[in-house]
Amino acid sequence: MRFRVRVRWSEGSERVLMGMAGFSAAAHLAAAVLLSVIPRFIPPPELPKTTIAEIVPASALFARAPSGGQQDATALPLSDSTPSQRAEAARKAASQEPPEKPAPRPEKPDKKPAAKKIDKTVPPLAPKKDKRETPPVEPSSSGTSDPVETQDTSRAPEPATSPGPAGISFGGSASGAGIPSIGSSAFPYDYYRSSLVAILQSNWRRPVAPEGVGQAVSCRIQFTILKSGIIQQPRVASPSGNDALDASALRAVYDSNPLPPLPFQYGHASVSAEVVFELTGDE
Amino acid sequence: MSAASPLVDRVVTNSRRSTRVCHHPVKSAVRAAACALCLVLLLVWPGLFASPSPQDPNQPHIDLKITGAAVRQIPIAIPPMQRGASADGETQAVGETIRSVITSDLTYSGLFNVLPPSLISSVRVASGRIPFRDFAALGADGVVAGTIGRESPGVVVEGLLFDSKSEALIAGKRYRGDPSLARDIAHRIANDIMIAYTGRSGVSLSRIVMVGKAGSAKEIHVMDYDGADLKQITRNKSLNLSPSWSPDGKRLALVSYRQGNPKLYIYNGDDGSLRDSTPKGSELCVAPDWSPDGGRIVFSSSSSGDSELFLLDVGNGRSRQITFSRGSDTSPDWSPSGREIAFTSDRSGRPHIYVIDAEGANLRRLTSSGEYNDSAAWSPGGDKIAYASRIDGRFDILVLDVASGKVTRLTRDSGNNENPRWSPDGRHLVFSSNRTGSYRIYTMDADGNRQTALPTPFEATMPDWSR
Repeated sequence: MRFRVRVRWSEGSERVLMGMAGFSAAAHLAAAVLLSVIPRFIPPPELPKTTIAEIVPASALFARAPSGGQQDATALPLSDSTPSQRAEAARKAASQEPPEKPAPRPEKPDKKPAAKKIDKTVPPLAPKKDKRETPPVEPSSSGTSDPVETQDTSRAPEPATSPGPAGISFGGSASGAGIPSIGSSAFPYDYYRSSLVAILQSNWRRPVAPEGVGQAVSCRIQFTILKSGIIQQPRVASPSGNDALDASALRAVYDSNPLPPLPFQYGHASVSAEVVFELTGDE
Repeated sequence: MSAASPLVDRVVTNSRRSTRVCHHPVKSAVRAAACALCLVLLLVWPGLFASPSPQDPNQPHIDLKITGAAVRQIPIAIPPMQRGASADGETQAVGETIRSVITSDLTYSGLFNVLPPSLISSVRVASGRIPFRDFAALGADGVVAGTIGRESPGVVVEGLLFDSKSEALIAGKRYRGDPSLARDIAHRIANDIMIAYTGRSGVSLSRIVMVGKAGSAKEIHVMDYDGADLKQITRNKSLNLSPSWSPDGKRLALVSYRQGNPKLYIYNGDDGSLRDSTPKGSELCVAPDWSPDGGRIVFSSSSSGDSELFLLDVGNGRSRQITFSRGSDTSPDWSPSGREIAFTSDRSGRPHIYVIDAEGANLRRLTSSGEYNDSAAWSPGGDKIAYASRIDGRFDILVLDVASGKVTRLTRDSGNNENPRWSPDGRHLVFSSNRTGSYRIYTMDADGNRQTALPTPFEATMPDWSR
């Protein structure tokens, strides 16, 4: 059996053929693109868990990004701002759509609870500060009248004493250098201080107490903590006379690097810390 | 008196500064008066401001004092998650999952004391209002306030950590993702909390690889550190053994018999490929371990008849022999610094743990006692080496303090316990044990406490914890 296909050539045929050729080319191209793209969507036998969780740091919700050590130091000029300014900034950042957000979302009213929560929580930060710190230090803090004010000027020292766990005492003062000391009122974050103590304590491998039993020896280590939690320039500020103790204390500080990022509400780039490591004789 | 003197000194400094800075006469007068009052009070209550006696009067201030006191767990409250935008039954269920995973992550770390739900159920968390004082009264230092809502493709989860006393926000992030990623999101939130308090990641995001038995075959499987999300990696129905994570957690080095002989393979998690990486001249590979920088793999090869250690350069595929001795050298494990390798050798008769520089020099023996010591694992801090030692005919996990040489036994009276590997934060160990009759993967704290089996539907051995 034979088929004969007769193609009648006419004016329109060429156009039809060209059209078919064009369509075929387009179809091939589309197929090629699909073939090359589709495998990307087929999940490979996964080893690392593929996460599509989109992470918006709290900087979008709040004035400053806190966690993960990847906060941007330049996000908002918060340093030395008054509490009301800070609260204002936080409120603004909270009630507005965060700038990183791609598109305005319809549930804006639903997000109000979050904004409300922020309104509630951030402003107390500053008032809380005096409230929290005054009781133990009422004499000196009432003396300097307004801790916020002094913080901006001379950073007059106030003992920011707070009840720590047994064996730990906080003292406060200003450091001679320009940066606030972790014990001063310019750094009103008790939780950070207690974290720091816990971390140093867990990393301190105490040397055997020296001969003079009952005699406590201590050395003083000084260092700077950067915004990211990185420890800088640890050094023995006043040696104990017991080299093993000095070395172990310095080692504990090195081993604790990096520390948690400084509180994101904290306005300075770093804080200085002076820590006493004390070996009591009865160990 | 001596206790107060540094503070007195400071107050004097303070008043001097104040007068210098503060030009307002009334204000400075008030300040001076208050400082004087303060001074008097300080003298009256020296015990209140107990501060160590100063060795150096020029450095009057102390910020913190560290003594030998035990580290306490951080009490933390995790109330039920709040309903966010267009929340429904599903988001509520996902929220409960997230809450329970955060709770178990934090509890597992050993650093936190998560207040039991029965205790905090009395505290009412109204929409967007956190009663910090109530939580503080229950003893919580931190409060994890979560919100979960729905957003077109998935859920949106906010995890915020507050300090209950100052009510300050310590950390917080918002996550968006498919509801199936609930556990993953929870692990991330838990890790954020860990970083906020300790400065380091915990194990929340880590995973464990292991060898699972399937009939006569052994295949590689991976699961989350808590045993969830078990996935099979190899499917070649031959023997696949001793998997080792690359430091970035994206690849695995392993030994497979899929071509008949034991060969070294690299599994790439990005594309799921299993590549034969056996270097020429050193076939019959076993026990690979990845270097901390990810550039090299140390393994043991017996192609010369006697097993020796080799280094494979992952970049160019070349290998180099680093041990040359009679007796078998095997089970290498890289030190976290990348400078040394611990391994098992029977060159002195019985198998013992040795250490050699990665260049092949400076060999020394670490263990002196025990009849059979094997599978050394260096802790992430580099200060300890865990290994399996045969005691009374059964293997147990021991930990050697490298500096002091002190050995601590972590397991006892529980079948064979083998193949210890450290968690990335050095606070836990994973190992395999047949204490119940068949081999399973277990984890325990670095001091041997809390030995727990991870559920697997097959016999499992040779675990490795991702970095």
